[in-house]
Amino acid sequence: MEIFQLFQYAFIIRALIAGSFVALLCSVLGVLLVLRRLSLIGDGLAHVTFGSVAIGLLLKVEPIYISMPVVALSSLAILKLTEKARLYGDAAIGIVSAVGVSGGVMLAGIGSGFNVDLFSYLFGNILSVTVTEVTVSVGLSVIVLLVIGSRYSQILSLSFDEEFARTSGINARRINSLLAVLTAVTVVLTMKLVGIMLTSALLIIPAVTAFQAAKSFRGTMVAAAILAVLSVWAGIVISFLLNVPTGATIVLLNFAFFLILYAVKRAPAFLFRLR
Amino acid sequence: MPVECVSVRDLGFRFDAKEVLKGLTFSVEEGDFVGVVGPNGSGKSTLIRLILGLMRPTSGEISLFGSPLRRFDEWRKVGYLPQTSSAVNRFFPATVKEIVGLGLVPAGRGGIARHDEKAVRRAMELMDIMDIRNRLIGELSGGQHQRVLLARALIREPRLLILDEPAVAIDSEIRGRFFDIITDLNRKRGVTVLLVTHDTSSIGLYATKLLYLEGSIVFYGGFDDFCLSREMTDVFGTFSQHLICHRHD
Repeated sequence: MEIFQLFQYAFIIRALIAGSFVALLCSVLGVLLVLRRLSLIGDGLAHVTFGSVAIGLLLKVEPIYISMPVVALSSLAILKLTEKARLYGDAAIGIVSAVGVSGGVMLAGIGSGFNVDLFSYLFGNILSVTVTEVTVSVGLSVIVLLVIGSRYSQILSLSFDEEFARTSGINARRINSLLAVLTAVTVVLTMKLVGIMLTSALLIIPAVTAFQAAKSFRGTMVAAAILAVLSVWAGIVISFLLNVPTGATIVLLNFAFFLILYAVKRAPAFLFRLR
Repeated sequence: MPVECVSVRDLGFRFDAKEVLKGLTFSVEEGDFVGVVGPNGSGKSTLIRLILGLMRPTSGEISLFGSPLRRFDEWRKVGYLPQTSSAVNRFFPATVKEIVGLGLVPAGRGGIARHDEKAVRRAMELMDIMDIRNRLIGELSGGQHQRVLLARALIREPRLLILDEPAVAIDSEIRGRFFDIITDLNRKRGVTVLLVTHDTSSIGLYATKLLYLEGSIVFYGGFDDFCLSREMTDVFGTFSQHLICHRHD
C-alpha cells in the first residue's frame, strides 16, 4: 500500500488530528514540567488515571468523565503534599501514584469482566479514536494551550526562578495550581493516544530532545512541538503499515529522535578527541 | 522628609523551635545604601526573605514604601538579586535576552510577553552584556551570570534594590566592577540598596549604613557612628572594628 493511500481512511485522519493536538499539548507542557523537575508527575498521574478508569468501568460511566476530576484532584494533592508536608516532589508523586494503582487493582479485582477493557487503556489505541473523542481532545487541547499562552510569561518566570517571580508579585500558588490541573487534563487526554503506561514518555522525551538543540526558550518550545507532532504522524503511519502497536511506536520514534540529536550535539567533541 | 522604603517593627521569626530573629526594629530611607552583615546563621538572608514576602514573620510588621507588606502590590518598585547558588536553574534553555526580559513580567497579567525591547536593551547595556545577549544562560561564567540577573532586577528601574550575597562565586576583578555599578546606581540615581554580605572587610567601600545582625540588631546606623563607637569596640574588638571601618572614608 502506498503511504498516501492511508489518508483515505477516516480512522487514520481522526488519529492524526487528535494525535497532533495532544502531542502539541504534551510537548509544551513537557518542557515546563521537565525544567521544574516534575518529569515524573505524568507517570504518577497516569497511574491515578488507571484507578479512575477502573471506577468508570465499574460504574459503567465513560471513564474520561471520572478521570478528569479525579486526576485533577490528585495533581493538586501532589502539590499540597510538597507544600504542606514538606515532601520532595518525587515522594509526593510516588504516594499518589501508588494509591492510584492500588485503587485500580482493587477495583479490577472487585469488578469481574471489565479487566480486558481496563487493559486496553494501559497501552492506548489512537487508531480507534471516535469522532466524539477527537472533538473532545482537540477542544480541550486548544483550551489548555490558550490558558498556557495567556499565562506564558508568568509560567516562564516561575519556571526559571520561583523566588524572583514571587518578588515580582506573581501569585506562585495560583499558577502552580493551574499548571497542576492542566497537567492532569493533558495526562487524561494522552491516555487514548499512547496509553497509561507511556503517557510520561510523551511528556518527557520531546522536551529533553529539544533541549539538545536549544538556542533559546522559544526555540526549545517550537522544537519540542515539531518533534512531538512528527513522532505522532510517523508513528501512526509506521504502526499501521507494519501492524505494530501505535503508542509504543510513537514513543520509540521519540527516543530515536533523542538519540539522533544527542549524537549530533556531541559529534564535534567526539571527533575532536579521535584526532 | 525622606521616604521610608523599608520599615521593620519588632520583627521576629522562629523556625521550628529555633528563634532566628527577635525584636528587629529599623527603617531604611530612600537613598540609603545599607550593608547587612553578621556571622553565618545570624539571620541576614532570613531578614531579606521576610522583607520580600518570601517568608512570613512570626511576629512584628514590615512595610514597604509606607504600605504593610501583606497589602503591598507595587512590586515594580522592588528589584531583587538572589544568591547565585539559590534556586536559579543554570541550565535553563533561555538566552540572556529572554532572562533579562523576565524582569518585566508583571503580576496579574501574563499574556504572551510583550517585551519592551528598549528597556531590555537599556538594561543589557547598563550591565555591559549586549555582546552575550543571544547566549544561553548556562554557557556564562559566574560573573556574567550575576550581571544578567542584575540586569533582570534593574530592568523595571526599581526604587529599592535588594541583593543577597551578590558577590559569591565571582572573582575579585569582576566583583569590583559589579559593586561599582551598584554604587553608581545608589549615588547617581538615588536607588536605595539593601545588600547582604559576609564580607565585612570591603562593605565600607560602598555602604553608607551598617546593619549588624546576630539574631537581633547589634548595630544599625551610619559608618561614622559605628567606627567612633566605644560600645562597638567593646563588642567587636579593636581589630574587627578597624577591619570594617578602615576602607570607609
